[in-house]
Amino acid sequence: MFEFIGYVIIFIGSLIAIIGSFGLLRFPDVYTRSHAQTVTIVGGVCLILIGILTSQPISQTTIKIIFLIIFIFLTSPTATHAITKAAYRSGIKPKVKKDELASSGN
Amino acid sequence: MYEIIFYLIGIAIIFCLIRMIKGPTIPDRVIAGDTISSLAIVIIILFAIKYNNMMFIDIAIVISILSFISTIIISKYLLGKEIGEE
Repeated sequence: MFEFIGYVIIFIGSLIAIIGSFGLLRFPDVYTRSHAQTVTIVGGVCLILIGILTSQPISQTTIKIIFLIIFIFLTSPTATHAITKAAYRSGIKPKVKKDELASSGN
Repeated sequence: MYEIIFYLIGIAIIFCLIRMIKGPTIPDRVIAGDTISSLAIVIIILFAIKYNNMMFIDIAIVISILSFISTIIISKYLLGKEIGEE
């Protein structure tokens, strides 16, 4: 029973990963592409890992996968924030009508 | 069951690889590479579960740490600062 639920969760997570990476291919800008990357990692990868946890019995392996999920949840938004801040400071303009970060004097 | 998941994640990695090849700026390529390493973690863990070889999960943890550190270092390089400097 739990094995079947785990397989369903893994399948949904892989579909979300495909949708997010297709957005990474199709979005027009660095900042919108970072949004698609977060969908792929937090929605796809972490959902697949939770599905593996559901379908496996508790052992040393599942403890390691739990720590891996916590690590990905902590580090993926940090890395995306750092790289988008570096992109803005290095002169890449976002494709918007009015750039409010530039007009706020920051 | 797991073979279908391998194929689906392979398609996702191909999308990221196209963006990594033709991305116009450096942060595009860095974001695509970070996504590829996270999808590779999933493939390694599914491989470990399928063939019942639990040594590969440690390799997945090391790959996630290395992708985080490399992204932070490249962003600091684009800002032109040293590590730890604000």
